[in-house]
Amino acid sequence: MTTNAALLARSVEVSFDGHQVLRGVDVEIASGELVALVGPSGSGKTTLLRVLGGGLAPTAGTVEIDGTDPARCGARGLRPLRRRIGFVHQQLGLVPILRASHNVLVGRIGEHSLLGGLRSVFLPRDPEVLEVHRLLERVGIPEKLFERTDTLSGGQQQRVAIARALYQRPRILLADEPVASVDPARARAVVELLVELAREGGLTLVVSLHDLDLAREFFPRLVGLRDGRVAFDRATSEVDARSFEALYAFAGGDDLLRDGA
Amino acid sequence: MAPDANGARRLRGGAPGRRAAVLLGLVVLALLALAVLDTPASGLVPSASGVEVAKRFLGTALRPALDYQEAHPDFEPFLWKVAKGAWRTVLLAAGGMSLALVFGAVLGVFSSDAWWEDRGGRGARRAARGSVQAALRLVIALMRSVHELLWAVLFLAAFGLTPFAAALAIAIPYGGTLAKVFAEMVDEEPRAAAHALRAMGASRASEYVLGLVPGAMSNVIAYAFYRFECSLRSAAVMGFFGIPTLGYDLQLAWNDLAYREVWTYVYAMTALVLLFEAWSAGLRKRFVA
Repeated sequence: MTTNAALLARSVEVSFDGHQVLRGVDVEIASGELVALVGPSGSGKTTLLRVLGGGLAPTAGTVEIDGTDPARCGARGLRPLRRRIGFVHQQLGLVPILRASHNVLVGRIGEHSLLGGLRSVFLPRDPEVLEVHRLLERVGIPEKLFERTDTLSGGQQQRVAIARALYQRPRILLADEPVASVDPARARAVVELLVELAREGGLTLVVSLHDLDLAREFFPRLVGLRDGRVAFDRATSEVDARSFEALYAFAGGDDLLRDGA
Repeated sequence: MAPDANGARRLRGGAPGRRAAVLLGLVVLALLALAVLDTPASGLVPSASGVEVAKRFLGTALRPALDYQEAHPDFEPFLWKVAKGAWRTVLLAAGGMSLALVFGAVLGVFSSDAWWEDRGGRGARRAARGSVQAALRLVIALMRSVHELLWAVLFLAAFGLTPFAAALAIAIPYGGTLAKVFAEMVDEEPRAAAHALRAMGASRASEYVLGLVPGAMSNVIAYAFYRFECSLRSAAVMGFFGIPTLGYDLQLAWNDLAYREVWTYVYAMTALVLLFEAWSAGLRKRFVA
Protein backbone atom coordinates (compact mmCIF):
# COMPACT_ATOMS: atom_id res chain seq x y z
CA MET A 1 0.00 0.00 0.00
CA THR A 2 1.66 3.16 1.20
CA THR A 3 4.55 2.68 3.52
CA ASN A 4 8.09 1.39 3.30
CA ALA A 5 7.62 -0.21 6.71
CA ALA A 6 9.21 -3.60 7.25
CA LEU A 7 6.39 -4.58 9.55
CA LEU A 8 2.98 -3.05 9.84
CA ALA A 9 -0.02 -3.99 11.97
CA ARG A 10 -3.31 -2.16 11.56
CA SER A 11 -6.12 -2.57 14.11
CA VAL A 12 -5.02 -6.13 14.68
CA GLU A 13 -7.28 -8.24 16.85
CA VAL A 14 -6.68 -11.86 17.80
CA SER A 15 -9.00 -14.15 19.73
CA PHE A 16 -8.42 -17.71 20.87
CA ASP A 17 -11.60 -19.60 21.73
CA GLY A 18 -13.51 -16.42 22.31
CA HIS A 19 -10.85 -14.93 24.56
CA GLN A 20 -9.45 -11.76 23.05
CA VAL A 21 -5.66 -11.54 23.27
CA LEU A 22 -5.02 -8.54 21.02
CA ARG A 23 -7.58 -5.74 20.99
CA GLY A 24 -6.79 -3.40 18.15
CA VAL A 25 -3.04 -3.07 17.87
CA ASP A 26 -1.40 -0.56 15.52
CA VAL A 27 2.35 -0.80 15.09
CA GLU A 28 4.64 0.31 12.31
CA ILE A 29 8.28 -0.72 12.28
CA ALA A 30 10.67 0.70 9.72
CA SER A 31 13.29 -1.35 7.96
CA GLY A 32 16.43 -1.70 10.10
CA GLU A 33 14.73 -0.55 13.28
CA LEU A 34 15.43 -2.18 16.65
CA VAL A 35 12.30 -2.51 18.77
CA ALA A 36 11.56 -4.21 22.07
CA LEU A 37 8.04 -5.30 22.96
CA VAL A 38 7.59 -5.00 26.71
CA GLY A 39 4.75 -5.78 29.05
CA PRO A 40 3.60 -8.27 31.66
CA SER A 41 3.16 -11.89 30.68
CA GLY A 42 -0.23 -12.41 29.12
CA SER A 43 -0.23 -8.94 27.62
CA GLY A 44 -0.04 -10.33 24.09
CA LYS A 45 3.65 -9.94 23.21
CA THR A 46 4.11 -13.45 21.84
CA THR A 47 0.85 -13.27 19.92
CA LEU A 48 1.81 -9.95 18.36
CA LEU A 49 5.19 -11.35 17.32
CA ARG A 50 3.55 -14.37 15.72
CA VAL A 51 1.12 -12.12 13.85
CA LEU A 52 3.94 -9.85 12.67
CA GLY A 53 5.91 -12.90 11.52
CA GLY A 54 3.01 -14.18 9.44
CA GLY A 55 2.73 -17.31 11.55
CA LEU A 56 -0.70 -16.44 12.88
CA ALA A 57 -3.53 -14.81 10.95
CA PRO A 58 -5.25 -12.03 12.92
CA THR A 59 -8.95 -12.41 13.65
CA ALA A 60 -9.46 -8.85 12.44
CA GLY A 61 -7.22 -6.12 11.05
CA THR A 62 -4.34 -6.38 8.60
CA VAL A 63 -0.63 -7.12 8.69
CA GLU A 64 1.99 -6.24 6.14
CA ILE A 65 5.46 -7.70 5.89
CA ASP A 66 7.61 -5.64 3.52
CA GLY A 67 4.37 -4.33 2.05
CA THR A 68 2.82 -7.79 1.55
CA ASP A 69 -0.26 -8.97 3.42
CA PRO A 70 0.35 -12.63 4.37
CA ALA A 71 -3.41 -13.24 4.47
CA ARG A 72 -3.56 -12.60 0.73
CA CYS A 73 -0.60 -14.79 -0.28
CA GLY A 74 -2.20 -18.19 -0.11
CA ALA A 75 -0.27 -21.17 1.14
CA ARG A 76 2.24 -21.01 -1.73
CA GLY A 77 3.01 -17.31 -1.46
CA LEU A 78 3.42 -17.59 2.28
CA ARG A 79 6.60 -19.67 2.04
CA PRO A 80 8.79 -17.04 0.31
CA LEU A 81 7.45 -14.43 2.70
CA ARG A 82 8.30 -16.58 5.72
CA ARG A 83 11.83 -17.11 4.40
CA ARG A 84 12.48 -13.41 4.91
CA ILE A 85 11.70 -13.65 8.60
CA GLY A 86 14.01 -15.30 11.08
CA PHE A 87 12.19 -16.27 14.25
CA VAL A 88 13.93 -17.28 17.47
CA HIS A 89 11.19 -19.10 19.34
CA GLN A 90 10.97 -19.26 23.07
CA GLN A 91 11.06 -23.08 22.90
CA LEU A 92 13.82 -22.75 20.26
CA GLY A 93 12.35 -25.49 18.07
CA LEU A 94 15.64 -27.26 17.43
CA VAL A 95 15.74 -30.91 16.41
CA PRO A 96 17.32 -32.44 19.54
CA ILE A 97 19.01 -35.51 18.07
CA LEU A 98 20.67 -33.71 15.19
CA ARG A 99 24.09 -32.10 15.42
CA ALA A 100 24.38 -28.37 15.98
CA SER A 101 25.65 -28.01 12.40
CA HIS A 102 22.58 -29.82 11.04
CA ASN A 103 20.26 -27.59 13.01
CA VAL A 104 21.91 -24.48 11.59
CA LEU A 105 21.80 -25.91 8.06
CA VAL A 106 18.07 -26.44 8.50
CA GLY A 107 17.80 -22.63 8.41
CA ARG A 108 17.62 -22.61 4.61
CA ILE A 109 15.08 -25.40 4.38
CA GLY A 110 12.55 -22.93 3.02
CA GLU A 111 14.61 -22.48 -0.14
CA HIS A 112 14.58 -26.18 -1.01
CA SER A 113 12.32 -29.01 -2.01
CA LEU A 114 12.26 -32.03 0.29
CA LEU A 115 15.15 -33.81 -1.46
CA GLY A 116 17.14 -30.62 -1.92
CA GLY A 117 16.58 -29.86 1.72
CA LEU A 118 17.80 -33.27 2.84
CA ARG A 119 20.86 -32.84 0.63
CA SER A 120 21.58 -29.39 2.02
CA VAL A 121 21.32 -30.57 5.62
CA PHE A 122 23.03 -33.95 5.48
CA LEU A 123 25.43 -33.45 2.54
CA PRO A 124 26.27 -29.76 2.78
CA ARG A 125 28.70 -28.30 0.28
CA ASP A 126 31.97 -26.76 1.46
CA PRO A 127 30.81 -23.13 1.34
CA GLU A 128 27.71 -24.07 3.33
CA VAL A 129 29.81 -25.80 6.00
CA LEU A 130 32.14 -22.81 6.17
CA GLU A 131 29.24 -20.45 6.61
CA VAL A 132 27.76 -22.56 9.40
CA HIS A 133 31.11 -22.67 11.10
CA ARG A 134 31.49 -18.93 10.79
CA LEU A 135 28.02 -18.36 12.25
CA LEU A 136 28.58 -20.65 15.22
CA GLU A 137 31.84 -18.81 15.78
CA ARG A 138 29.99 -15.51 15.63
CA VAL A 139 27.44 -16.62 18.25
CA GLY A 140 30.27 -17.90 20.43
CA ILE A 141 30.13 -21.71 20.21
CA PRO A 142 32.41 -22.73 17.31
CA GLU A 143 33.63 -25.85 19.13
CA LYS A 144 30.08 -27.27 19.28
CA LEU A 145 29.75 -27.63 15.51
CA PHE A 146 29.51 -31.43 15.43
CA GLU A 147 27.92 -32.04 18.81
CA ARG A 148 24.44 -33.38 19.22
CA THR A 149 22.12 -30.51 20.01
CA ASP A 150 20.49 -32.17 23.02
CA THR A 151 23.89 -32.47 24.72
CA LEU A 152 24.31 -28.67 24.71
CA SER A 153 23.28 -26.42 27.59
CA GLY A 154 20.16 -24.25 27.31
CA GLY A 155 22.25 -21.17 26.57
CA GLN A 156 24.26 -22.97 23.90
CA GLN A 157 21.10 -24.31 22.29
CA GLN A 158 19.76 -20.82 22.16
CA ARG A 159 22.87 -19.73 20.28
CA VAL A 160 22.32 -22.57 17.83
CA ALA A 161 18.77 -21.29 17.30
CA ILE A 162 20.08 -17.77 16.69
CA ALA A 163 22.70 -19.08 14.25
CA ARG A 164 19.95 -21.01 12.44
CA ALA A 165 17.84 -17.88 12.13
CA LEU A 166 20.83 -15.99 10.68
CA TYR A 167 21.74 -18.79 8.28
CA GLN A 168 18.26 -18.32 6.87
CA ARG A 169 19.51 -14.90 5.57
CA PRO A 170 16.39 -13.07 6.80
CA ARG A 171 15.64 -9.39 6.41
CA ILE A 172 13.66 -9.33 9.63
CA LEU A 173 14.60 -11.03 12.90
CA LEU A 174 11.97 -11.69 15.55
CA ALA A 175 12.82 -13.14 18.95
CA ASP A 176 10.29 -14.23 21.54
CA GLU A 177 11.57 -13.83 25.12
CA PRO A 178 15.10 -14.87 24.16
CA VAL A 179 16.27 -14.59 27.76
CA ALA A 180 13.46 -16.56 29.37
CA SER A 181 15.55 -19.72 29.65
CA VAL A 182 18.99 -18.33 30.51
CA ASP A 183 20.35 -16.95 33.75
CA PRO A 184 20.53 -13.16 34.20
CA ALA A 185 24.28 -12.96 33.55
CA ARG A 186 23.84 -14.64 30.16
CA ALA A 187 20.63 -12.80 29.37
CA ARG A 188 22.47 -9.56 28.84
CA ALA A 189 24.98 -11.24 26.52
CA VAL A 190 22.20 -12.80 24.43
CA VAL A 191 20.33 -9.54 23.95
CA GLU A 192 23.57 -7.76 23.17
CA LEU A 193 24.40 -10.42 20.60
CA LEU A 194 21.01 -10.12 18.90
CA VAL A 195 21.32 -6.35 18.68
CA GLU A 196 24.87 -6.55 17.33
CA LEU A 197 23.90 -9.12 14.75
CA ALA A 198 20.94 -7.04 13.62
CA ARG A 199 23.14 -3.95 13.30
CA GLU A 200 25.82 -5.85 11.36
CA GLY A 201 23.31 -7.24 8.90
CA GLY A 202 21.06 -4.21 8.72
CA LEU A 203 18.17 -6.37 9.91
CA THR A 204 14.92 -5.21 11.39
CA LEU A 205 14.83 -6.62 14.92
CA VAL A 206 11.79 -7.02 17.13
CA VAL A 207 12.28 -8.72 20.49
CA SER A 208 9.76 -9.39 23.21
CA LEU A 209 11.26 -8.91 26.65
CA HIS A 210 9.85 -8.72 30.10
CA ASP A 211 13.18 -7.51 31.45
CA LEU A 212 12.73 -3.74 31.31
CA ASP A 213 16.34 -2.91 32.11
CA LEU A 214 17.62 -4.91 29.17
CA ALA A 215 14.99 -3.41 26.89
CA ARG A 216 15.96 0.11 27.94
CA GLU A 217 19.66 -0.54 27.65
CA PHE A 218 19.73 -1.98 24.15
CA PHE A 219 16.68 -0.79 22.24
CA PRO A 220 16.09 2.75 20.98
CA ARG A 221 12.33 2.18 20.75
CA LEU A 222 9.93 0.46 23.12
CA VAL A 223 6.39 -0.73 22.50
CA GLY A 224 4.53 -1.35 25.75
CA LEU A 225 1.66 -3.85 25.64
CA ARG A 226 -0.93 -4.26 28.31
CA ASP A 227 -4.00 -6.44 28.13
CA GLY A 228 -3.81 -6.72 24.36
CA ARG A 229 -3.47 -3.00 23.68
CA VAL A 230 -0.53 -0.73 22.96
CA ALA A 231 0.03 1.22 26.18
CA PHE A 232 2.87 3.29 24.75
CA ASP A 233 5.06 3.30 21.64
CA ARG A 234 7.95 5.74 21.98
CA ALA A 235 11.65 6.32 21.78
CA THR A 236 13.18 4.75 24.87
CA SER A 237 14.45 8.10 26.13
CA GLU A 238 10.88 9.39 26.22
CA VAL A 239 9.43 6.53 28.23
CA ASP A 240 9.31 7.60 31.88
CA ALA A 241 9.08 5.56 35.04
CA ARG A 242 5.35 6.30 35.38
CA SER A 243 4.62 4.57 32.07
CA PHE A 244 6.41 1.46 33.23
CA GLU A 245 4.57 1.46 36.51
CA ALA A 246 1.26 1.76 34.74
CA LEU A 247 2.28 -1.07 32.40
CA TYR A 248 2.87 -3.49 35.24
CA ALA A 249 0.25 -2.20 37.70
CA PHE A 250 -1.93 -4.90 39.18
CA ALA A 251 -5.20 -4.89 37.32
CA GLY A 252 -7.19 -7.36 39.38
CA GLY A 253 -7.69 -11.10 39.65
CA ASP A 254 -9.38 -11.31 36.27
CA ASP A 255 -6.10 -10.64 34.47
CA LEU A 256 -4.20 -13.20 36.44
CA LEU A 257 -6.65 -15.94 35.53
CA ARG A 258 -6.32 -15.17 31.87
CA ASP A 259 -2.56 -15.09 31.96
CA GLY A 260 -0.37 -17.08 29.67
CA ALA A 261 -1.95 -16.18 26.36
CA MET B 1 -13.29 -24.99 42.15
CA ALA B 2 -15.37 -27.45 44.15
CA PRO B 3 -15.08 -31.00 42.88
CA ASP B 4 -18.45 -32.04 41.53
CA ALA B 5 -19.65 -35.58 40.91
CA ASN B 6 -18.81 -35.42 37.21
CA GLY B 7 -15.25 -34.30 37.82
CA ALA B 8 -14.70 -36.97 40.40
CA ARG B 9 -16.00 -39.62 38.02
CA ARG B 10 -13.69 -38.38 35.26
CA LEU B 11 -10.76 -38.62 37.64
CA ARG B 12 -11.57 -42.24 38.38
CA GLY B 13 -11.80 -42.91 34.66
CA GLY B 14 -15.37 -43.67 33.72
CA ALA B 15 -18.55 -44.69 35.50
CA PRO B 16 -18.01 -47.31 38.22
CA GLY B 17 -20.99 -49.34 36.95
CA ARG B 18 -19.45 -49.64 33.51
CA ARG B 19 -16.14 -50.90 34.79
CA ALA B 20 -17.86 -53.59 36.82
CA ALA B 21 -19.87 -54.59 33.74
CA VAL B 22 -16.72 -54.89 31.62
CA LEU B 23 -15.03 -56.97 34.29
CA LEU B 24 -18.05 -59.25 34.60
CA GLY B 25 -18.20 -59.61 30.82
CA LEU B 26 -14.55 -60.70 30.67
CA VAL B 27 -15.07 -63.29 33.41
CA VAL B 28 -18.13 -64.70 31.63
CA LEU B 29 -16.17 -64.83 28.37
CA ALA B 30 -13.33 -66.71 30.04
CA LEU B 31 -15.72 -69.26 31.60
CA LEU B 32 -17.50 -69.73 28.27
CA ALA B 33 -14.19 -70.28 26.52
CA LEU B 34 -13.12 -72.87 29.02
CA ALA B 35 -16.45 -74.69 28.70
CA VAL B 36 -16.41 -74.70 24.90
CA LEU B 37 -12.76 -75.73 24.74
CA ASP B 38 -13.51 -78.67 27.03
CA THR B 39 -11.01 -77.80 29.73
CA PRO B 40 -9.42 -79.45 31.55
CA ALA B 41 -9.16 -81.45 28.38
CA SER B 42 -9.13 -85.17 28.66
CA GLY B 43 -7.28 -84.95 25.31
CA LEU B 44 -4.27 -83.44 27.01
CA VAL B 45 -3.59 -86.76 28.70
CA PRO B 46 -1.28 -88.30 26.08
CA SER B 47 -1.70 -91.73 24.65
CA ALA B 48 1.03 -94.28 25.19
CA SER B 49 2.41 -93.80 21.68
CA GLY B 50 2.32 -90.04 22.14
CA VAL B 51 4.41 -90.34 25.28
CA GLU B 52 6.83 -92.51 23.35
CA VAL B 53 7.23 -89.96 20.52
CA ALA B 54 7.66 -87.12 22.99
CA LYS B 55 10.28 -89.08 24.91
CA ARG B 56 12.26 -89.92 21.80
CA PHE B 57 12.07 -86.36 20.48
CA LEU B 58 13.03 -84.71 23.76
CA GLY B 59 15.70 -87.34 24.37
CA THR B 60 17.61 -86.16 21.32
CA ALA B 61 17.48 -82.47 22.27
CA LEU B 62 21.13 -82.37 23.29
CA ARG B 63 22.31 -84.43 20.33
CA PRO B 64 21.39 -82.43 17.23
CA ALA B 65 22.40 -84.09 13.98
CA LEU B 66 25.55 -82.98 12.22
CA ASP B 67 24.90 -85.32 9.30
CA TYR B 68 21.87 -87.14 7.89
CA GLN B 69 20.63 -89.70 10.34
CA GLU B 70 20.35 -92.11 7.47
CA ALA B 71 23.14 -91.64 4.99
CA HIS B 72 22.10 -90.48 1.50
CA PRO B 73 25.10 -90.64 -0.78
CA ASP B 74 23.54 -88.43 -3.50
CA PHE B 75 22.39 -85.66 -1.16
CA GLU B 76 24.27 -82.43 -0.55
CA PRO B 77 26.09 -82.33 2.80
CA PHE B 78 23.64 -81.97 5.69
CA LEU B 79 25.14 -78.84 7.25
CA TRP B 80 25.25 -77.20 3.83
CA LYS B 81 21.54 -77.91 3.56
CA VAL B 82 20.92 -76.34 6.98
CA ALA B 83 22.92 -73.27 6.01
CA LYS B 84 20.98 -72.98 2.76
CA GLY B 85 17.68 -73.26 4.62
CA ALA B 86 18.78 -70.55 7.04
CA TRP B 87 19.90 -68.32 4.18
CA ARG B 88 16.57 -68.74 2.40
CA THR B 89 14.73 -67.96 5.62
CA VAL B 90 16.72 -64.74 5.93
CA LEU B 91 16.03 -63.89 2.28
CA LEU B 92 12.30 -64.40 2.60
CA ALA B 93 12.20 -62.41 5.85
CA ALA B 94 14.23 -59.61 4.27
CA GLY B 95 12.06 -59.58 1.15
CA GLY B 96 8.86 -59.44 3.17
CA MET B 97 10.29 -56.84 5.50
CA SER B 98 11.56 -54.60 2.68
CA LEU B 99 8.11 -54.47 1.15
CA ALA B 100 6.57 -54.00 4.59
CA LEU B 101 8.88 -51.04 5.29
CA VAL B 102 7.78 -49.34 2.08
CA PHE B 103 4.08 -49.95 2.89
CA GLY B 104 4.66 -48.89 6.49
CA ALA B 105 6.54 -45.70 5.66
CA VAL B 106 4.11 -44.49 3.00
CA LEU B 107 0.93 -45.42 4.84
CA GLY B 108 2.43 -44.32 8.15
CA VAL B 109 3.11 -40.78 6.92
CA PHE B 110 -0.24 -40.30 5.25
CA SER B 111 -2.29 -41.80 8.07
CA SER B 112 -0.59 -39.79 10.82
CA ASP B 113 -2.33 -36.82 12.41
CA ALA B 114 0.89 -34.83 12.08
CA TRP B 115 0.63 -34.90 8.28
CA TRP B 116 -2.93 -33.57 8.20
CA GLU B 117 -3.11 -31.17 11.13
CA ASP B 118 -3.07 -27.33 10.85
CA ARG B 119 -3.87 -27.27 7.17
CA GLY B 120 -6.66 -24.75 7.52
CA GLY B 121 -9.02 -24.40 4.59
CA ARG B 122 -12.78 -24.53 4.44
CA GLY B 123 -15.21 -27.19 5.59
CA ALA B 124 -15.35 -29.18 2.35
CA ARG B 125 -11.58 -29.50 1.96
CA ARG B 126 -11.23 -30.32 5.62
CA ALA B 127 -13.83 -33.07 5.30
CA ALA B 128 -12.10 -34.44 2.19
CA ARG B 129 -8.77 -34.62 4.02
CA GLY B 130 -10.45 -36.25 6.99
CA SER B 131 -11.96 -38.95 4.81
CA VAL B 132 -8.65 -39.67 3.06
CA GLN B 133 -7.01 -40.20 6.43
CA ALA B 134 -9.90 -42.34 7.68
CA ALA B 135 -9.78 -44.45 4.51
CA LEU B 136 -6.03 -45.02 4.92
CA ARG B 137 -6.53 -46.05 8.53
CA LEU B 138 -9.20 -48.52 7.42
CA VAL B 139 -6.82 -50.01 4.84
CA ILE B 140 -4.16 -50.33 7.52
CA ALA B 141 -6.62 -52.03 9.88
CA LEU B 142 -7.59 -54.50 7.13
CA MET B 143 -3.94 -55.30 6.41
CA ARG B 144 -3.23 -55.89 10.08
CA SER B 145 -6.30 -57.87 10.97
CA VAL B 146 -5.51 -60.81 8.68
CA HIS B 147 -2.59 -62.97 9.84
CA GLU B 148 0.30 -63.61 7.42
CA LEU B 149 -0.54 -67.33 7.33
CA LEU B 150 -4.06 -66.54 6.11
CA TRP B 151 -2.67 -64.17 3.48
CA ALA B 152 -0.32 -66.99 2.50
CA VAL B 153 -3.23 -69.39 2.06
CA LEU B 154 -4.98 -66.80 -0.13
CA PHE B 155 -1.94 -65.95 -2.26
CA LEU B 156 -0.81 -69.53 -2.68
CA ALA B 157 -4.29 -70.35 -3.96
CA ALA B 158 -4.22 -67.35 -6.29
CA PHE B 159 -0.62 -67.23 -7.54
CA GLY B 160 0.69 -70.66 -6.70
CA LEU B 161 3.73 -71.52 -4.69
CA THR B 162 6.10 -68.62 -5.39
CA PRO B 163 8.51 -67.05 -2.93
CA PHE B 164 7.15 -63.64 -3.90
CA ALA B 165 3.65 -64.66 -2.84
CA ALA B 166 5.10 -65.68 0.52
CA ALA B 167 6.99 -62.39 0.85
CA LEU B 168 3.82 -60.47 0.03
CA ALA B 169 1.89 -62.50 2.61
CA ILE B 170 4.39 -61.36 5.23
CA ALA B 171 4.58 -57.80 3.90
CA ILE B 172 0.88 -57.00 4.13
CA PRO B 173 0.17 -57.54 7.85
CA TYR B 174 3.67 -56.39 8.76
CA GLY B 175 3.30 -53.28 6.61
CA GLY B 176 -0.02 -52.47 8.29
CA THR B 177 1.45 -52.89 11.75
CA LEU B 178 4.51 -50.81 10.88
CA ALA B 179 2.28 -48.07 9.42
CA LYS B 180 0.18 -47.90 12.56
CA VAL B 181 3.15 -47.86 14.92
CA PHE B 182 5.20 -45.42 12.79
CA ALA B 183 2.27 -42.99 12.67
CA GLU B 184 1.78 -43.22 16.43
CA MET B 185 5.47 -42.64 17.08
CA VAL B 186 5.59 -39.55 14.85
CA ASP B 187 2.35 -38.21 16.34
CA GLU B 188 3.90 -38.49 19.80
CA GLU B 189 6.76 -36.18 18.83
CA PRO B 190 6.72 -32.62 20.18
CA ARG B 191 5.82 -30.15 17.44
CA ALA B 192 8.16 -27.27 18.39
CA ALA B 193 10.83 -28.07 15.78
CA ALA B 194 8.30 -28.72 13.01
CA HIS B 195 6.52 -25.45 13.72
CA ALA B 196 9.83 -23.58 13.70
CA LEU B 197 10.61 -25.08 10.30
CA ARG B 198 7.19 -24.07 9.01
CA ALA B 199 7.79 -20.52 10.24
CA MET B 200 10.96 -20.33 8.16
CA GLY B 201 9.12 -21.30 4.99
CA ALA B 202 9.69 -25.07 4.87
CA SER B 203 7.39 -27.14 2.68
CA ARG B 204 5.01 -29.46 4.43
CA ALA B 205 7.08 -32.49 3.44
CA SER B 206 10.35 -30.91 4.65
CA GLU B 207 8.71 -29.90 7.89
CA TYR B 208 7.59 -33.49 8.47
CA VAL B 209 10.79 -35.23 7.44
CA LEU B 210 13.24 -32.87 9.14
CA GLY B 211 11.14 -31.60 12.03
CA LEU B 212 9.36 -34.74 13.23
CA VAL B 213 10.99 -37.86 11.81
CA PRO B 214 14.49 -37.42 13.34
CA GLY B 215 13.07 -37.43 16.86
CA ALA B 216 11.02 -40.54 16.20
CA MET B 217 13.80 -42.30 14.30
CA SER B 218 15.43 -44.23 17.15
CA ASN B 219 12.07 -45.69 18.19
CA VAL B 220 11.12 -46.41 14.59
CA ILE B 221 14.38 -48.25 13.97
CA ALA B 222 14.14 -50.24 17.19
CA TYR B 223 10.61 -51.31 16.32
CA ALA B 224 11.52 -52.16 12.72
CA PHE B 225 14.30 -54.41 14.01
CA TYR B 226 11.91 -56.14 16.36
CA ARG B 227 9.55 -56.77 13.45
CA PHE B 228 12.42 -58.13 11.39
CA GLU B 229 13.02 -60.66 14.11
CA CYS B 230 9.32 -61.60 13.97
CA SER B 231 9.51 -61.87 10.20
CA LEU B 232 12.33 -64.42 10.54
CA ARG B 233 9.92 -66.64 12.46
CA SER B 234 7.10 -66.00 10.00
CA ALA B 235 9.41 -66.81 7.08
CA ALA B 236 10.38 -70.09 8.70
CA VAL B 237 6.71 -70.99 9.20
CA MET B 238 6.05 -70.29 5.51
CA GLY B 239 8.00 -73.53 5.02
CA PHE B 240 4.88 -75.42 6.07
CA PHE B 241 3.32 -74.23 2.80
CA GLY B 242 6.26 -75.60 0.85
CA ILE B 243 8.38 -72.47 0.57
CA PRO B 244 11.96 -73.73 1.00
CA THR B 245 12.94 -72.28 4.36
CA LEU B 246 14.05 -73.82 7.64
CA GLY B 247 10.41 -74.61 8.38
CA TYR B 248 10.16 -76.72 5.24
CA ASP B 249 13.27 -78.71 6.10
CA LEU B 250 12.08 -79.10 9.67
CA GLN B 251 8.73 -80.44 8.57
CA LEU B 252 10.29 -83.01 6.22
CA ALA B 253 12.73 -84.14 8.90
CA TRP B 254 9.85 -84.53 11.34
CA ASN B 255 7.88 -86.62 8.86
CA ASP B 256 10.97 -88.83 8.46
CA LEU B 257 11.06 -89.19 12.25
CA ALA B 258 14.61 -87.78 12.06
CA TYR B 259 14.32 -86.01 15.43
CA ARG B 260 18.00 -85.17 15.72
CA GLU B 261 17.80 -83.37 12.38
CA VAL B 262 14.69 -81.53 13.64
CA TRP B 263 16.72 -80.28 16.58
CA THR B 264 19.45 -79.05 14.25
CA TYR B 265 16.89 -76.93 12.41
CA VAL B 266 15.43 -75.65 15.67
CA TYR B 267 18.88 -74.62 16.85
CA ALA B 268 19.66 -73.04 13.49
CA MET B 269 16.51 -70.95 13.84
CA THR B 270 17.48 -69.97 17.39
CA ALA B 271 20.99 -69.04 16.26
CA LEU B 272 19.53 -66.91 13.49
CA VAL B 273 17.31 -64.96 15.88
CA LEU B 274 20.11 -64.55 18.43
CA LEU B 275 22.58 -63.38 15.79
CA PHE B 276 20.07 -60.89 14.52
CA GLU B 277 19.34 -59.72 18.05
CA ALA B 278 23.03 -59.12 18.75
CA TRP B 279 23.45 -57.18 15.52
CA SER B 280 20.37 -55.01 16.05
CA ALA B 281 21.27 -54.32 19.68
CA GLY B 282 24.61 -52.97 18.49
CA LEU B 283 22.95 -50.78 15.88
CA ARG B 284 20.32 -49.53 18.30
CA LYS B 285 22.95 -48.54 20.82
CA ARG B 286 24.61 -46.39 18.19
CA PHE B 287 21.36 -44.65 17.38
CA VAL B 288 20.14 -44.06 20.91
CA ALA B 289 23.42 -43.03 22.53
